[in-house]
Amino acid sequence: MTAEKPSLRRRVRASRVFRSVFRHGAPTDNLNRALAIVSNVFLHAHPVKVHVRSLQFLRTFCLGGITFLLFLITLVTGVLLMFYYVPDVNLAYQDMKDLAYVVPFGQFLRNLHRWAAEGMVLTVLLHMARVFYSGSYRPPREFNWVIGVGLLVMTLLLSYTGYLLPWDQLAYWAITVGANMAGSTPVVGHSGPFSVTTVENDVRALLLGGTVVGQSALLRFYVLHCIALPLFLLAGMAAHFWRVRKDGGLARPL
Amino acid sequence: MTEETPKPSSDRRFLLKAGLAALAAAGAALVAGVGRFLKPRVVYEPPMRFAAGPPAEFPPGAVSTKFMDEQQVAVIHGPDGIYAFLTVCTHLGCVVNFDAAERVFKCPCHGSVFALDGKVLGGPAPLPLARASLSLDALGRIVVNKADTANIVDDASRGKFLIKGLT
Repeated sequence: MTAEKPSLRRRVRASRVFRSVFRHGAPTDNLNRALAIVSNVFLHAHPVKVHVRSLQFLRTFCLGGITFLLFLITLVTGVLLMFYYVPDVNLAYQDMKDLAYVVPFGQFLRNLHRWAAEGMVLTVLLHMARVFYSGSYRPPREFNWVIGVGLLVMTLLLSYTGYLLPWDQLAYWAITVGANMAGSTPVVGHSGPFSVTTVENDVRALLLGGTVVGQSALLRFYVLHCIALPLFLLAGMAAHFWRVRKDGGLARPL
Repeated sequence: MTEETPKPSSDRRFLLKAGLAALAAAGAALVAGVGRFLKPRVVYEPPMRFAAGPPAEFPPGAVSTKFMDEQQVAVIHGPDGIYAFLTVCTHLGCVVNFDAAERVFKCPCHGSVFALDGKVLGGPAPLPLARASLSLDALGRIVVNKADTANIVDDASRGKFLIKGLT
């Protein structure tokens, strides 16, 4: 009778490489299940145990989670689009056409980016409505509502800055109108009440990098859209998720 | 015998405060520097001030649209003299077009209509078109300053928005 060879799974688990990554045993008992969560940087914001009512679909409709998923989709598709898109007034529109007609899966990725972004605005608003109607903004969660409003603003600003990048008529005039709204800000906008600025040095000029929507504006919106706002959004989401846990978990009375 | 924790001397407190003050000053300088960095010294766009030409180029009744494409400025010789306004709709900032047949300016976005003196004839525009201030340079040319504007119609009292033309 030959000695039974240990299974492949067992051998992998026993290997030095595997044990250097996962320092706990198989999640077959409560201790190791807990260790699987708390010793993983991506999972550790999650509680080890969740109240059964928090998992009921009708409590949350998964709206925050769907928003996060849509954000991840825009993140991945956005990074891929950056390989083909150049923020130059002579190239931007042409790159859009290339993405639509030449690049393999380019149109698909661009549409995915667009629809995920539009969906994200929708689910953020629905998520806010759910939190409002279930009274989940009440103490001790009131500050997380404030963070959430910041995330809503970031989401809208990302939509706004992304709107300019195709550099077509729709983009150009939408950003012209939006920038003129910034120019109507009280005190710091040149056409706002109590203005102390001119068209050349107000908050609109800061946003556009000039007095008209041109190359500087396209580059500024590109940098805001691809780097600055996503970083703020990620930092805000980390704080938001962390506080969900610290304020007593999801969707149930305390 | 227990040793008491020595109280931080006032010298050390002072050093701490001086250090914090230096950090705050450096932070303020950083914010100011980044703010200055974001305001470009050179912009590659049509200048805010440009020479439109001598007054003789704008005879009475003329509506000059030749600067509209690049500068979004119309120069008009009205009953009181030569004036210029930005052909940018005061509703949401679209560029208005000159309708030569009806002699009015029309906005393609939401249908605002402006008279030759910039007055609103219809549509959602809340203000008359913005007059740009005018001056004459050393060569006798009219210089239009788009950075200095006012949404006025009656320009008789506002000298800088009106230049006496040749009659």
